[in-house]
This record gives sequence, structure tokens and C-alpha cells, in this order.
Amino acid sequence: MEQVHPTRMELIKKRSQIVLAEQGRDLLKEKMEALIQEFFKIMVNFSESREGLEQLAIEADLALLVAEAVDDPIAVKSASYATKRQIMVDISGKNIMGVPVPVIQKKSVALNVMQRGYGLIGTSSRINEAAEKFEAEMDMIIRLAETETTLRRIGNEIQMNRRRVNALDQIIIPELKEQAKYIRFSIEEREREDLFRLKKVKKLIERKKVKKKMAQAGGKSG
Amino acid sequence: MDSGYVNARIRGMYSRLLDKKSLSNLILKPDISSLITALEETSYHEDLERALVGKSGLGGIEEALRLNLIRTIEKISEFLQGEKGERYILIFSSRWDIHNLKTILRGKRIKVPTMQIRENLVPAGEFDVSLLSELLKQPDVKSVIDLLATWEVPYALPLTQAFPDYTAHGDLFILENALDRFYYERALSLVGGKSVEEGKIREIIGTEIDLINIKSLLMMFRDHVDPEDALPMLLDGGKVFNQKKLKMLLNLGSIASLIEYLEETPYRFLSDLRSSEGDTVKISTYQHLLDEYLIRHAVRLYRGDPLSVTVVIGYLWAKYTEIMNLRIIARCKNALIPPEDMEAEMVYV
Amino acid sequence: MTGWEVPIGAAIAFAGGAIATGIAQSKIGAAGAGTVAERPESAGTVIVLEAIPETLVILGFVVAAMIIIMVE
Repeated sequence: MEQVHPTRMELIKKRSQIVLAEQGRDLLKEKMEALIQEFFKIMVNFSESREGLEQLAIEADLALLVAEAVDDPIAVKSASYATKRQIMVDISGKNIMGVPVPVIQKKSVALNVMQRGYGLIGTSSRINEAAEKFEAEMDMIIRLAETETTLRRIGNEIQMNRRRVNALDQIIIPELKEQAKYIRFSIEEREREDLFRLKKVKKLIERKKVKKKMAQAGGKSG
Repeated sequence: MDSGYVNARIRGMYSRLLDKKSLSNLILKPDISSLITALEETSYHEDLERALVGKSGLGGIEEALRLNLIRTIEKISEFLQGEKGERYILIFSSRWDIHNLKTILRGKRIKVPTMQIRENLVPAGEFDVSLLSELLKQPDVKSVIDLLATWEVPYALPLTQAFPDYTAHGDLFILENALDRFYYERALSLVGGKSVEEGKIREIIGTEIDLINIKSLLMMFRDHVDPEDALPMLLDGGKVFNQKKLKMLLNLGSIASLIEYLEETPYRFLSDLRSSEGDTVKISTYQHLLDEYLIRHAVRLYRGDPLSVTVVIGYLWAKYTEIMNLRIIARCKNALIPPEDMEAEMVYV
Repeated sequence: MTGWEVPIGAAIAFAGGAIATGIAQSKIGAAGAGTVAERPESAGTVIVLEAIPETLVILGFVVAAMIIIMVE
């Protein structure tokens, strides 16, 4: 606070800064509210799919268990070697209130029996069913990855916004106000000093005048 | 050697299979370690001792079951050596050759480390350990097939024939289907004679082919596979369905009408399930019934003519089923699945 | 006076029993070997079963002896 120059110019500058900061804070608050709304909209969706994923995961594990129990785990392992593909995922982005979020584009992982790589004749339907369930789970996971990243990004943004609003609200604006007050006080103080000084000078001058007059009067009478 | 000896040995071995009561006792064991203790009192103790050195718990049991199967097949083919019965064992045991070969081809194609592929092999068939490790040393699919051809392994023939098609499309199932097809053709040709026992074994193989075709059809109908793509997936030589009937079945186009059609065949048990459970039945539930049917019929060979070698085939199926049941018990114990659900997957003979 | 037919008859009687025993024992022996290989605990029963066809050869011997004695 010491580095501010207590000048009138500075005071005007500070006042406009305060107005700007308050405007910024209000804007940020509005943005935050909008983001929170967006966040909850995605959140509802997300928690539903999350439950769906858990259900799928349980089913997939059960199917795998049955496949491994009835056919040898070795047969399951062997069938898994027949896989022929990697999953192609295309990620682009979009903007939600200035927050970049990913958009994942992919073909569905789920396949039909002819595309899984292993021969149909020698593979049991239990193994096939396990593969199918895990493909569905995979699909769900990729979809959830998109929403989860979006949620996380928006969440981060909300937090950052809140920090900014708080900083403006509790540090910058009070500080600016403090500075403005200080400047105002200093200026008033200086004005008062000036006034006092003027008065003092005036008194001195008057006293001098009186002395002169008395001297003149004494000279006449004496 | 005459069949009396073989028959007596097989019957001795059969009498040592676990009956329903001892299986139920095993189901009621609280955990894996008490299951192991209980199994140590059966004919599996030797294999368990060997397997539990390297692996513990569930892995150990599964390893022991595999060892037991390999040992059983080895033992039987030892005392059948040089007889015509040996061929029948071959039909059963070369399933594992097919499994091994497929695993190696699949593994080599996506470059799985050799050690990992080796863990998934079951040396129960014709392939001895030296051939398997030579195959494992090959760098890719092509050289595996070449090596098979050099060693004059019969499976080299279908693989070499299917190889150009495979290189053109890159789909592994072309090779796998060629192998499976060859397996059943070879099995049928091994029992092509006119004797009664060959006829009986041929009937079982024919039944198996039928059941596999039904399974394939169910799976393909559910996924709406184009009938033109589907036809090469079906096997010829079934007991009920010949090539012409298969084409007709393909044109039925849906699971519902297929099962309806099956009512007029020996496989009508599927429609009972469908009428009690509705359309939501999983294919694996159907397959459980199909497997059960096949196992029941194959094990029936054991109860047939006591002086023929078909007893051996019956015994092997019974043994295979027992191992499967034990694996189900062990797996489900490990995952804490309740006994009722366990029994739904098991097959009692 | 006995002719050459008597010892021939006795021989046939004995040989029949012996051959039959041989056939029976070969079958039982093979099966028994299999059984003992699988279940060593049943060895006692197997020996008893193996011995039963022995009665045939004894019967043959008795008949042969009777033929020779009675015809004289």
C-alpha cells in the first residue's frame, strides 16, 4: 500500500479499477453458475451410465467365469490370441463455455461371430458370449471416458473460477478499496495541513501587521 | 492282446470315477484348500502333488486336472498300442492336437511370447513335446505350416490348402475352420469300416457334427450372418443333417424356426427349454443341453457291448466330463458361486 | 478185450476238458491281469476266478479215468 502515490490522479485510477474488478467478478459468477448447470446435466447422465457399466462388468465377469469353468481356461486364453484388431478411436474436441472437452468418435467394438478371428466350429458359445460381454463393456468404457473427461475438465474450470471470484472478492477488491481510502485520507490530510499552514501564515502576517501598526502608533505618541 | 484285458482295465478305471454323491460332497466343501484336501484322497492325488509344486490353489487344481487327462490318455493308448482300438483313442485325443495347433497359429500371428503360448498347450494328443517345441520356435504362421509339412504331420494338408485364402483375406478363422473340418473328416474316415463298433463310433461323431452345426447355426442366426458366408462354417457328415438339409436349415433364418424344425429330429430337447424359458435364452444355455446330449450318448458306449473297444471311448468321455465337473466346482468355489448355480453348468453321467 | 477205441475215447475226454480250460483261462487271465493292474486289492478274487475253469480239466481227467477203468 506504500507504493501508491497519494495523488488525485491515482485515486481516479483506483476507482475505475474497482469498478472493473467488480464487473469482472459478476461476470465470472455468472459463468460459474452456467458451468455448474452444465456439470449437473452431464453428471446425471454419467452416474446412470456408471451404474450400467458396473452391471455390464459383473455380467462380463460371470460369462468369463462360466467359459473358464466349463471350457478349459487354456481354451479361453487360446481363443483370446485369435484377436486381430486394435480399437481405432478418433478424438476431436469441442467447447463448452470456453472449456475444451474431448469428443470420441469410434466404431462400435461389438462384432458378430464371424469377425472375432477364431473359427466358429471349434469355439464354444460360452467363450463367444464372454467375448461379446467384454466388447459391450469396452464400448461403455470408451463412452464413459468421454463424459468423465468432460466432467473433470468442467469441474476444474469451476474450481478455477471459484478461486478467481474469491480472489477478486476477498483480496483484490478490498485491497483496491483500501488503497483508494488511503489515497483519499492522504489527500484530505494534506488539504487540512495546507489549510492549517495557510492559517498559520495568515496569523503570522496578521501579527506582523499588528506589530507594525503598534510601532507606528508608538512613534507618533512618543 | 484281446479285449478282455482292455475291458477289465477300463472297468477298473471307470469304477474309480467319482460318482454323483462324491461330487456333491466336493461341492459342499467350504473353500479351495479343503477341496484340494478332498481331491487328494481320490485318483487325482498323484497329479495334485506334481501340480501343486509349481502353482497353488485354483491354478494347481486346474493343472492337476490337465495332467490327469494327459496321463489317462497316455495310459490307455499304451495298453492299446498296436491294436485297432488305438485309432479310436486317436480320434478323441487329437482334439488336443487341434487345440495346440490353433493356439500356436493364433499366438504366432500376433507374436505372443513363446513361453506364454507354451503355457496354453495340452500335450495330450499325437504331437510329442519335441514337435511342439519345434513349432513354438517358428517365427510366423507360414513357417509353422511349412514345418508341419516337413514333418509330414497330416494337419499340414488342410493348412497348406487354406493358406492362399488366408493370405488373401487375413482372417485366421479360414485356417481354423480348415483344421476343424479336417479333424472331423479324418475322424469319420478312421472309422469308415463296416464293423459294429466302427458304426457306433461313427454315430457319435455324426451326432457331434450335428450338434456343432446346430450351435453354429444358433450363433449365426442370432448375429444375422449372411447365409452365403454361413454355409462354409457348417460341417458335412452329420448323422441327421446332410449337406442338403443344412442348406435348408440355413434358409430358416431365425432361432425360433430352427428350434421348431428340430422338434422332428432327435434334438427336440432344445424346444422344451425354449417353451419354458421363452426367447431370451442365451446360446450358451442351449449349448449346455447340446453338450449334455453328446456326453450322455458318448458315455452310453461304455454301457454297450462289453467286449468291444467302444468301452474305451465311453470311458474317455466319462473321464473328460468328470474333469470338466471338477473344474467347474473349483472355479466356482474360487469365485464363491453358490452350489445351485454350479450344478446348472455341470453334467452328470 | 479192449481195443484201441478205449484210450482214444479217454484221450478225447481229457483233451476236450483241457482245451476248454485253456480257452477259459486265457480269457479270464487277460481280464484278470487288467483288473489286477487297475485294482491290486482284488488280486485274491482274480486268483479264485482264474482257478474255477480248472474244474473242467479235472472233470475231463475223471471221465477219462472212468472210461478206462469201466470198460476193462
